[in-house]
Amino acid sequence: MKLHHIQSVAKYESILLRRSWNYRVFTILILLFIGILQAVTLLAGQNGWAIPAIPSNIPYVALYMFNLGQAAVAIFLSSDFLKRDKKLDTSEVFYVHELSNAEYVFGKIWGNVRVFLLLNLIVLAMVLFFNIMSPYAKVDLGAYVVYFFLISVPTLVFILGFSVLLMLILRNQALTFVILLGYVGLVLFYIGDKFYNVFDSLAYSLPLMRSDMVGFTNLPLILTHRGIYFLGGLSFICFTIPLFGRLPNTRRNFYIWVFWGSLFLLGAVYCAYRHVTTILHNNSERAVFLEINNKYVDEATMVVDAYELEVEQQPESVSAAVRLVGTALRSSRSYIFSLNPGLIVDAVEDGQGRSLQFTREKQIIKVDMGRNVTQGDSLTLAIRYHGRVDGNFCYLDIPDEERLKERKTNVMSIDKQYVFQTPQYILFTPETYWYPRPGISYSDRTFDWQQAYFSNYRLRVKTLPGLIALSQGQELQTADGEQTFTADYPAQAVTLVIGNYAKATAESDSVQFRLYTLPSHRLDIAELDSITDTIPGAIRLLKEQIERQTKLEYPFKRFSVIEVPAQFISYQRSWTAAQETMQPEMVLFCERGFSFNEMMIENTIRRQKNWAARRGGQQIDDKEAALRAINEILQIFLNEDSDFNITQTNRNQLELTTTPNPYYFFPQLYNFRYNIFSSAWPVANRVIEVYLRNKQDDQGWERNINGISNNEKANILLGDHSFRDLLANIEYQDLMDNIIAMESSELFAPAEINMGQTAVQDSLLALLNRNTFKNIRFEDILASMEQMASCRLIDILSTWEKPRELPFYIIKTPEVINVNDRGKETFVMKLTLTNASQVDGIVNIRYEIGNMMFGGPGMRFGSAAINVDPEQMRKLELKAGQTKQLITLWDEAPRAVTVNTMISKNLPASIQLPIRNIIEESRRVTEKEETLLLADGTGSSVEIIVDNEDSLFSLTEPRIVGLLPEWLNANTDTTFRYRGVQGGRRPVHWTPTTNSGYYGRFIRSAYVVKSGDGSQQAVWKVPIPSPGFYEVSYWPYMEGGGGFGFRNNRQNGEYHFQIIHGEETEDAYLNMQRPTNEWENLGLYYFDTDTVRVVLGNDTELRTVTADAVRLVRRQ
Amino acid sequence: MSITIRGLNKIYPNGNHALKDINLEIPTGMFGLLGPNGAGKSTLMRILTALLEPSSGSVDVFGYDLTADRKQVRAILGYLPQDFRFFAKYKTYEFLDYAARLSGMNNRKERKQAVDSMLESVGLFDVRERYANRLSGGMKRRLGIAQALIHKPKVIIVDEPTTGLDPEERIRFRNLLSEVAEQGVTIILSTHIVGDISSSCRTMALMNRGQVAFYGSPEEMLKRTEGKVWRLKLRTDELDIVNRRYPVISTIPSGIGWEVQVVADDVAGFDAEPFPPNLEHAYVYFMENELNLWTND
Repeated sequence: MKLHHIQSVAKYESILLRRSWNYRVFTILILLFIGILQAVTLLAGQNGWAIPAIPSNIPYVALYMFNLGQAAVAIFLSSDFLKRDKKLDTSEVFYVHELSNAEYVFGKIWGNVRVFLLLNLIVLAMVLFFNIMSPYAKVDLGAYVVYFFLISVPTLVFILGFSVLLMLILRNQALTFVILLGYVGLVLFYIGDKFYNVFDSLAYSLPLMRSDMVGFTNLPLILTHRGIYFLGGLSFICFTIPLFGRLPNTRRNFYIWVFWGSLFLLGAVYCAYRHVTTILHNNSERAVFLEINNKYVDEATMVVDAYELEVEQQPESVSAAVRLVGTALRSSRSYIFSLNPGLIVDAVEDGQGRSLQFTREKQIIKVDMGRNVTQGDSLTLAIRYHGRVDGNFCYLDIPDEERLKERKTNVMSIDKQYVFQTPQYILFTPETYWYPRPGISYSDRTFDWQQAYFSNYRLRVKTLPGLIALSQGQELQTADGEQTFTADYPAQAVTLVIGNYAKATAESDSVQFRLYTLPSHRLDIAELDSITDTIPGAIRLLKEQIERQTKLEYPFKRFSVIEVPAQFISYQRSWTAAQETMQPEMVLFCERGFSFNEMMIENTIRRQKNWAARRGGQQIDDKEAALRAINEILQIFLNEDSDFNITQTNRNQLELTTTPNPYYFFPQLYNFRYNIFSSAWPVANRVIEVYLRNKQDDQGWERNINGISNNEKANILLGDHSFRDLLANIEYQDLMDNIIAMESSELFAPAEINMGQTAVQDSLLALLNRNTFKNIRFEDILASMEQMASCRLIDILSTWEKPRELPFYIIKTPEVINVNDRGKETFVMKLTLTNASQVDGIVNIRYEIGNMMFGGPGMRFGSAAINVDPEQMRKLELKAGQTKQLITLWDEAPRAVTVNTMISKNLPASIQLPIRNIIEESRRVTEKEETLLLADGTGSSVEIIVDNEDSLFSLTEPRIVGLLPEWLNANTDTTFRYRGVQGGRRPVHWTPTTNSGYYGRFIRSAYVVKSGDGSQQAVWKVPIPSPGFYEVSYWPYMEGGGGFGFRNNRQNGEYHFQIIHGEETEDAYLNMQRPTNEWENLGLYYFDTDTVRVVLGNDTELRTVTADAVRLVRRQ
Repeated sequence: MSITIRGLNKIYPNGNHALKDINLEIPTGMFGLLGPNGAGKSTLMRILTALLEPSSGSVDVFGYDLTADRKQVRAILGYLPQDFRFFAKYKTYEFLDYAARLSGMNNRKERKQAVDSMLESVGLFDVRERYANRLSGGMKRRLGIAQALIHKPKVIIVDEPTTGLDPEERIRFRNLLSEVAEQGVTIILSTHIVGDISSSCRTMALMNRGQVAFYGSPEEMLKRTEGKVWRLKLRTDELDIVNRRYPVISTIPSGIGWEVQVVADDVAGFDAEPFPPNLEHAYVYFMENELNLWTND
């Protein structure tokens, strides 16, 4: 093959491409697009922190964007060249030359490739220019090269090879173009990260983010993945040669290129095979780990009181020795421990240094003590081991689906790693089992593994030169660069970080705050220098605020924020609020805080200034702005949820989900300090924690979007499953907090009835504080509380074992009388509630008095409980069938009452009853605060009400309204019947939804439909007991108060009713311009038939129609 | 002989037997390939340029077998196809440079000289920077021949080169080819325009229905027509009869009647006188009398 020929063809092919208008337009557009994007991101700093934070992201994102565009254009242009060759005789003047087909095809493709490669280089040069000019980002030149080869080159070779081959086979440019674009579209919008990314030719979902700290963590995977497409592309190009429509110079060439094509194809297939099998192997290996855990589930274990760990870092491994002293939990001859299966155990000895027999099966070490050990006996063991920690062993309880789910920030796809072990960097969290821990890790046969115990730790670390080790406890630098860490308090586990870290400290309130970053990641920000001495004060204020709100104290002497590689990720677990990112006295914070825009400190400071100017028109100086920025950043640790995602499910439903904030500070105050354990209920610690946090979220915007609140979902689930089953069910992980909150709130409700909520919480806290850093039995806590509150709590635990029958309540609109006694006003409120079910229950009542606002979603932890007059929060027990009337007296006008029905069938579970009509009376106050037991509070003999939940209510069959609207409205998820009806898209079919404002006995629901021609109707069949005059009324509540609710065009809006009795049909109209949200009169009618049909059509000028309840009242 | 064709057959996949047992000896110099449309000229040309594979038979080009030594044959070939358009975005000199590169001219300086001198010799030097699609029809043909000549091939195959050219350009183009032919190059000129051949080819073949109908020199072909061309003076009413009876070459109005040239062995009953034949007459006579193809209907 003559290179000269290839270059000649390539040269003139490039000339053609460069001179084509398609190419020029594309080039200008893409350069503009990427240029603007870079300017916004790197110069203006307006596109978030994630890209500039990690310098390699800059070329990554630019090439990622460019790659999508170039793939589409390359398809078009490359398929074009063969069309041109086919059509014009002109090509034949070149065909008659001596060059071979291979030279010609290679030349053509190289001509195209090199033009695109050049464009890639231009794009990269432009990006580099912005990168250098950027005040926010550093430059990582290596990344420019790496991503060029990882993203652009394989994609180009593949796309060009594929399109040319397809063009030769199909011999139709349009068809080729459609197929290839369809393929790209399929990859982008449908396949994405499915099938382990194997079809992701554009590296769209492939985790390609490269950490500044450890580089790529999945390089073999990336290389095999890109190999699939690079080799695949080469193979297609080779196959193109024998298929090319020109007689070959010699026949032999045909076979040569078929051979090479096949070879490359085999290579590509091998890469694909490697790629998939590596992932599948990991999955099956995890299954083996689980199987082994299950096998050893019944083996005897011990509780370790003290660990002495010695670790020496070596370039490719670690060697360690651990001495553990503890107590046997059971009598046995052998005891088991778990140690990461990547670590090789060298020797096990007893306290006297005698060698002990042991067996090692993957993660398990089973040590034969050489004698029978009795329960409670003290045990001492020394274990020596070395090796590399295997990340695949972590999070065995997290399903593959969750573990392999794509992780994206901005457009960057990030690898998920749980452990790092390179010559430059080590991160071992307890999840890795980097030192032996008694018992097994995850097993699906028991919950024991979730149980943590406090132990004393002492750690000695020898790092490689130039690196420092970080861990919990008092640090001491010894000779030869060795460091020792002695924990101040017992801990449940210990973490080891080794790296080249720079340290910044601030001392406040006898706590040392430390920030460990890469030296190049130090916060060298001029504005911060001016407030260096004020930062400790800011931290102290915040700490005090948190401690006041939670009534919990930060127990440790230091708090370290340690920067860890971007790929590090943790998962939420049902039994603890602490993720692996949070460790006692330290938080493992993502590299440069890239996922938090606040961490772009210059911008945060500027924003603070702008806010101050916009809000109060006040000017704040740099110092004040910097201080506020620091406060804003510190808030990162106070948010319970880090991410609110509104996604569209089933094509018509918006779904709001929240992701727990992995950096939520709360575990420092609670989880690392208290340990409530129960062999029956490992969730015990969480139950107490959630109860103390007084976690209540209900109503509000989340509910408006999803149509159902998380608490209501939890209720429905608790009616169908036992609490125990739900705890083990990963499917409902996102509702776990709510489920636990419902249960914990019910668990302590009997105590609260007797003592009041505040007293119960205070007592619990006092109990915990007497037992800090100790393992406390859950059952003991309950027993103590029982004693204090004189009630039974422990029995409630038995209800956690099975699905339960849920109570439901009927709540009447409260009556309020303003009694004016010679100028002194007293507001008397009477609230009547009935438990209409066969089971006992408890409700929580909250009065909103005067103008004060409290509660509500989006507040920081613990704050729901503070500053609320205990009088305004009451729990009321309602036994099956009971009706109670609560009479309360207030000095100020009550605004609303919210009845939270806790675990019940009520929908909404939390009912807000605004106080609208206050009756004025001038007299003395005769009422007193009391709770009356009434005979029966429900029903009324004079009125007949038919609600949409009743069997007498029906809807017209939905009409076929066209395939597209049908598809858009398709709802396949039937787990939760009621849905949200958001303003954006109006439901095409009658859609059930719930709201406090709707009418209903215990389910306050209605059906909503898009307005139309009147063919969609709701029908209430009302039985008439005897002929006579009846007043017909309608409950006209429309959802629309909230930001996500309906914005009906109220102009001339009215509902059209037909009242049908016998042969007669009468029309009635209800003006909806200003609905009172109470019964509205439709007129007085004489009925002499058995039933009357009230029909509501969707023919209205309003955007939607709501079908709720009809009432008939007999008039004499 | 520079090219020897033996028993050449081409049957297309659709069953069209385009070439039937062609045997030809092509000497150096200009060789004319004449024939009506569909006679198989283009198929033969495409086989000779190694663009098409024959179904059977052999072609020897300067000692190389066209099928087995395709690369060597290609190295000594120049080709100007019939429907010669240009890539829109090549400049005139680039087109030649591209062809020169593909012919193995590696040295940039030499190549530039060759391109410039070739542009000079075809009279395109002044428009070398112009995009080739902006050239006039004649210039395009000259550029076409220039790219076929740039690597000094031994065989040049030119398919219908003068179609669509004005007479001046046509003459200029023929002269250009003749000059090249003088340098010991074999030029195969395929055409259906008789004038192209008569003025420049020493040897020719007449093809018809996939076969060689005549092979020899244009003079031999003329000789066969001597005494077979007649000039008739006709009245208008006679013109119709003559038109039906004889192959008419030309009809010119003259005074009250018509002056008509026909080819025929003998003409009886009209005012006829013998006329000296040209190659066009010979071609028509050949079609009419030797192959019985002529029809005036």
